[in-house]
Amino acid sequence: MWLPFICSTAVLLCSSPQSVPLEPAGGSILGVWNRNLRWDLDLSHRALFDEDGDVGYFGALGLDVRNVFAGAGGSDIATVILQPYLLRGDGLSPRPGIFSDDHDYALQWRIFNANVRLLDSGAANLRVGHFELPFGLEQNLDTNGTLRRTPHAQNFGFVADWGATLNGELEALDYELGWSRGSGNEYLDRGGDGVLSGRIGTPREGTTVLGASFVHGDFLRGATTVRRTRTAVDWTTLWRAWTFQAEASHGRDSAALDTSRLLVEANWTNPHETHLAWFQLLHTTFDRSGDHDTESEARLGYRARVSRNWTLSAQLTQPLDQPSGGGVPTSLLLQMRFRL
Amino acid sequence: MRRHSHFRLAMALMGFVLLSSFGAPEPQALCALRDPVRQIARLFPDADAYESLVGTVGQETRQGVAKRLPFTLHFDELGRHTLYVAKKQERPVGLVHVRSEAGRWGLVEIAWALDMDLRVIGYEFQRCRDRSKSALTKGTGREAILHKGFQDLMGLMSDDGGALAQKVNFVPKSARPLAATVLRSGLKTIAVTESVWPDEIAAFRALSLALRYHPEAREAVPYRELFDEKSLGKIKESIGSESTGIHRAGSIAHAILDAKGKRRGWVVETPWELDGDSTLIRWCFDLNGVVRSVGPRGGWKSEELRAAFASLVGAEPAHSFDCCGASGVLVLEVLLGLGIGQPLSSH
Repeated sequence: MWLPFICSTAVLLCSSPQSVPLEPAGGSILGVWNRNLRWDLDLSHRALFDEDGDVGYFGALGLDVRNVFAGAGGSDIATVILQPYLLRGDGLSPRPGIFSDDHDYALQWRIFNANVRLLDSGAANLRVGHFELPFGLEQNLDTNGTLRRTPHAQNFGFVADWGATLNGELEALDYELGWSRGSGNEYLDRGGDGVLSGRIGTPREGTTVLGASFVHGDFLRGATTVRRTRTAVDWTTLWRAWTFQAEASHGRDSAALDTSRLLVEANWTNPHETHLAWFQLLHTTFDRSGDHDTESEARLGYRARVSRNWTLSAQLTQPLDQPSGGGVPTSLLLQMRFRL
Repeated sequence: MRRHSHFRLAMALMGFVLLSSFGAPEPQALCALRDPVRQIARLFPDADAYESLVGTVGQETRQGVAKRLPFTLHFDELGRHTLYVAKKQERPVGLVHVRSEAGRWGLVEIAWALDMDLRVIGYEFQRCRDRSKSALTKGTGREAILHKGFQDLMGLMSDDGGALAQKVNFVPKSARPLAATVLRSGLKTIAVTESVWPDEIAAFRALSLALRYHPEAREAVPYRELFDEKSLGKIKESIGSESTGIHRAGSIAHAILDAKGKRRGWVVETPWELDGDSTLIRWCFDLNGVVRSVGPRGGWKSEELRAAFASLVGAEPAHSFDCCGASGVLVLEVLLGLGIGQPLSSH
């Protein structure tokens, strides 16, 4: 299980660190690997406190690697992202699916893919590997390793999946359409046709960004699969130091459970963007054979990048409306993250 | 819930170990980095591909920028950065570098297009929350920044670099703070690009020049040290020890190769000082040492100089040595440096 992680580490440690001298293309394999390499070590530790007095811990130690490779003509042909992480969970409630028991280690492939140019201009690329499902706000946000969240995990049970996508940036729109296995962190085939997903949106660098996305397919759940369908629209607008955004999704799990989710967020940042404060409202409605239920919560979060290496974050989650027969208590999540 | 003290202790210890190290990591996950695909397409509509060159912006670069500018790089700006070389049919047509500069409402991210002499030939806002940016995306606001080099942009700033110079009025008052942010970004871009990728840019510059005269050229590779002991001996023998004004240590040469790796000529850059004025002269030679082009960065100081150097173009080396005065002596010195000239005494 740990072999890929160890191999990845070995490759990186054999190569030079951040101050890699540029080498001409066509050199040794190590020279080609080092030429456009960036990598960081990423270490984070979270503590989750809830109003019942329970405390859970979550640790992550990983490599974050990005490399760009050029073809014979010298132009870029592929971008590779590799993020193997070693996770440790202790007493987390609810327990993330990646852990087998309350005190467990797990290997997570956060993002692990190669994006290969089909057109040299970057207008069409083929991504192969482990990637975030192209859906909703997550497509343009970087919540990887942070406390801030979009409803990806609630909608699909995971954020990233194994498969392939066609993606690119055109003059007036961004797009990504893909097929993936539906098994999340590990590639497991237990029947089912896999998952089709896609998002099309206005350019991500605009002051207002609009997107529409869909997901349809069979998701692994235990030893079997469940068919899920979602469609969503997302919206982002920047106004001075504020960002306002929302994602509304609707769909069905199996043949009986209709689910609608609305996430609304307002966040503020300072001129150097070293501080970020956010407020989120997440409202979910469930309809199962005529039974109607709702769940909603508010999240107040803050992230401070105190140095180039250190980031401290906190998020308070307050349930507003609990579903019948269950719910989660008020909780406070703290995280310190170190990147080297 | 049970606390797992061993794991937390290990994490804390590792934290302390790492705390004692100094690096320049990306503050966000690297999967968040995106190439400025759309910006490159807008800045170079004729380009059909681009090449990424990743380089390290470190403390040395930061100190270098501080010497050239009244402000310097924030520590957040250090780390690994990418210079994009826009290409058309595998030939370089320009450079793109993206920099973030703190603005009133957050970071202003600008993709700068530069020519091989690091003059601004275009720019695109990649991220900007300031609504006054429209004053800088068209009309006089944009024109005032285009085709400017480092010194030209410096001339638009106040002495401390914190604002536009008082006399400068190419944007409305409401857009002046953003215009100053944009200029700071442009100045840093040029200074950083020049500092981090000097060798790569020199090679692309040589290839761009060579392509005008050698369409089959595909690559410019650094040539050996131009003025080594052997060539200096020949130069002394031919033109004596008196200085011709060429700054030998600052001269660089590139061999021009075709797709098969066969040499097709040379491009040489020689800083040259005449009457206290310094200029950079660029030479393009074919394999026989015939001058295909010669010109200064910027322009000639006088018509007389222009004419003197123009007379070298196309002339056989032996002819150049004998008849063209000071400019002929210069080309002799460069050719002897390349190892293809003959001392005057042999003619």
